[in-house]
Amino acid sequence: MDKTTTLKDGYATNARPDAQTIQNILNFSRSYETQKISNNFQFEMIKN
Amino acid sequence: MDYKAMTDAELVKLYINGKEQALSFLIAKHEQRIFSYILSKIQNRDLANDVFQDTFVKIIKTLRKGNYNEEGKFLQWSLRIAHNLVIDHFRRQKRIPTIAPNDEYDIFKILKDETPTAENEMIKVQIEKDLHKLILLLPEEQLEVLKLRHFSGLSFKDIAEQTGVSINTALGRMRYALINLRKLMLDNKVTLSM
Repeated sequence: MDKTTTLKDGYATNARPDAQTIQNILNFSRSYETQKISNNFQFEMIKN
Repeated sequence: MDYKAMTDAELVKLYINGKEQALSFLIAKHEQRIFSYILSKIQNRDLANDVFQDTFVKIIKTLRKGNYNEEGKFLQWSLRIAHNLVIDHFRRQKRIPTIAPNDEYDIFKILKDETPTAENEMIKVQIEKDLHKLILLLPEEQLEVLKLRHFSGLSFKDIAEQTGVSINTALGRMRYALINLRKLMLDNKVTLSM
């Protein structure tokens, strides 16, 4: 059975995400903090 | 520091140690492969951007929590996360089916908003005022039958009993009330339609 995936027109394999999406990820990374308090307790925090 | 020359493992290590810039280089290095994969499955650019963002949010959380242990296989690991999120997306979509409008079919042509517009509401109020004025011009006995039938919701049998006339007389008064109302509308140039 042929399992080749054919992409529809307009869905090029060299597509890149929007600049805003990248910016959102970098912003999230800068604001995200996690801290391990004990072996079974870790908390996450988003800074403003 | 030459980030461009670094391996994924080195960039990951730097990022875990607090070098935010290393993440930019990791994204730049692999965004095309990861995003193309997501887009090829989802085939919607906006949704693909959302899934791509969620993929990196998950990557960031895993790296920061120190749960990453696939040194040297960052791309394969990222693609696996993206793949799982694509599956989650389709599961969600299956649970909440959505219909997107296209050239041939638009759900909003079938589902109309029945809420009256402010303009229609004003016209309705005006029609009611005009109608009320006209009704008050009817002869007393016709006005009484009309009120009992339309405003009190009585049957002609009840109207006949209440006004002390036969059903036929009550029906006749109602008929004349409507004929006279139409005449009054023409005479007063009143339109009772939206």
